[in-house]
Amino acid sequence: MPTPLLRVRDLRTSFGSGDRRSEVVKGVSFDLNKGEVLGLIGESGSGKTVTGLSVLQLLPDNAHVEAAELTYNGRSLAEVGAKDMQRLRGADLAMIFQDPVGSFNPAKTIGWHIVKALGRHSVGPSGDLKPGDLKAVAAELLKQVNIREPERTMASYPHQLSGGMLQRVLIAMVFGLNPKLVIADEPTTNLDNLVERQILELIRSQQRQHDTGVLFVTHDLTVARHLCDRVAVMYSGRIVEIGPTERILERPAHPYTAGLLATARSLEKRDAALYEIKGEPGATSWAKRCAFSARCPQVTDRCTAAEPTERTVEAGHSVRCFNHAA
Amino acid sequence: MAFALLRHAVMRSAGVMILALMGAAVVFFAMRAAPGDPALTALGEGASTETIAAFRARWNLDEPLIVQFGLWVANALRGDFGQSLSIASGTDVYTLLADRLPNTLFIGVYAIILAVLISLVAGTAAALNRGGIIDTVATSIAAAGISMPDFWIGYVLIYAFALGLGWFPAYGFISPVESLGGSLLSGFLPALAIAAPMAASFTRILRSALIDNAHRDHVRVARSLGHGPSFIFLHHVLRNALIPFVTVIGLQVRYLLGGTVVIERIFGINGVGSLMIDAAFGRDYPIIQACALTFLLIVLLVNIVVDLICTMLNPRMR
Repeated sequence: MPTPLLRVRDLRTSFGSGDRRSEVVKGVSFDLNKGEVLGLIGESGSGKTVTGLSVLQLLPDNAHVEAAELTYNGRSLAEVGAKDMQRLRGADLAMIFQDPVGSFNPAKTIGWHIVKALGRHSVGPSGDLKPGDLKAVAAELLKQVNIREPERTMASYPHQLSGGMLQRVLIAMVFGLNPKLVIADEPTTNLDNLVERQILELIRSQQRQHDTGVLFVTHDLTVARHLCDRVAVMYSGRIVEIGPTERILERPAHPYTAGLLATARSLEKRDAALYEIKGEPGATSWAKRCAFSARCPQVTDRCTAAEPTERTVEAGHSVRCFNHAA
Repeated sequence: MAFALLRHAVMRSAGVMILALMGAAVVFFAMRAAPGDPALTALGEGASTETIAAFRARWNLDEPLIVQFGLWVANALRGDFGQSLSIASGTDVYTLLADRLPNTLFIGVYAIILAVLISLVAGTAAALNRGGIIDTVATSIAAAGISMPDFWIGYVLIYAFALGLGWFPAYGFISPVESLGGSLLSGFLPALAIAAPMAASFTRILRSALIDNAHRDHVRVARSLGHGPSFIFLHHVLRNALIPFVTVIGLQVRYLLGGTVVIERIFGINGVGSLMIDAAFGRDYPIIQACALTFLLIVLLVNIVVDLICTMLNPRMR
């Protein structure tokens, strides 16, 4: 089996220290292969965004990240120094964020952002681009994401462009650096439906063109269906089910995944009563119990007595639930 | 675009004129409402009724107030601010101002430069060291600086650096027209006394603006693209923090002028501020009018310059 692009084993991320320390990611494990799109699905507070930020080491100083294994192309990211990590960011590992408007420095032009990002990674002793070429490269990148007047866009300031336009620019900029892995953190959540489709299409085409591995963080199963090869469903800081997208959407093995699907389907049908997963969402403990047990329609005595371990449903599809025989 | 700019310039100038006129009117009528008479200052308490009447007639002080104001405005528009009535009898107000304005401007600009330099260093150090010892020291000094009046700081500085250490002269000021080096040295303590409270508030605003901007999303995006800490600090954090910083500097200029009035007195500087105090005691109306107008115009001019800088710094204002 080839080395996965990204291997994560028992990732744990917590904030604060001492008594006020709270664990947000509670042991997440997954592999992401080259050129693969893995969806990371879950509700707010399930730890999906923090998982992405942990990989890129972009969390604030009060965050504490530990993992049994966290490797990029076989190289341990935990042992990479701050300087080398800085060099990996952008060039190898990049990220697309939720709020396109806030992603840009309001005092600088769009062109400045792209040229500086390109300059950071391609100019220098080993680089093949001269500073003068960067503007032309930037304009070319914008054309590839269907921006008709690249020069005019580059001369604009962020507040002069729409959210959808800015997200296009960010996608152009990120994929233009040709990273091997892109973490997309709900990149379409703040956009309207029509623009959302276009942006998803854009990410898909850029991803195929560059053969990029993408960790696609979303709370939207429909989005995942369009984009992802595999999906991982997160609940309260852990992955509760992971497998190929088709299989999980057709035959979900975890009651939480089934609940999410039922909710999404009831939203699509008119007149049908909306399905909801009972109980309060939010972070609950996995200590000697299943964190979902309080909301689970299929709860049994075992669910509140011990922590469910990962079981294989079939090859490549596993679930963290007692209701499946090991 | 050019038309809009021109229109903006015309509107702005008209605004300045109206404000200047209103300011002049306020000072004019307030001074006349105050008790006291320039004739008594100029001629002495024992002057006869006839000499006083002659004095009043000569300077049009016997005209109705509104006529006096009209005369003053008409002359001022021609650049004639009249002559001193009492404290420097007969001297052109223009000459008095021209003599003293360079000193006041020098001390004022000196104070702003000191305040900006101090706050840039202290505010940046505090923000980068948030919650640490440097931050605690800088914010404590800043809090103390804001609560201390400038005249008190002036006396403390004289006591410590002039009388104690002997590094600077305690009193007197060498005009920048005579010797730049001498004025930098003799102007340091008064400029610092004016700068200290300003530096304190600039430091606080810069510190909080830097901290605020360091937590913006685009900073994290810049990190995710591989930009280094110094690049991010310079272009993403400091660059955006400059906008509130410059705005507050503009707002503080009026306090600066108030500061010069007191500080010029303490340090014996021959400036517009001390001239204004002398004129106020002597009820020397033309001088007071001219000084107040000068200060008013300086404040309005600085506001225009600050607005221009802010527009340059903040593309959203264009």
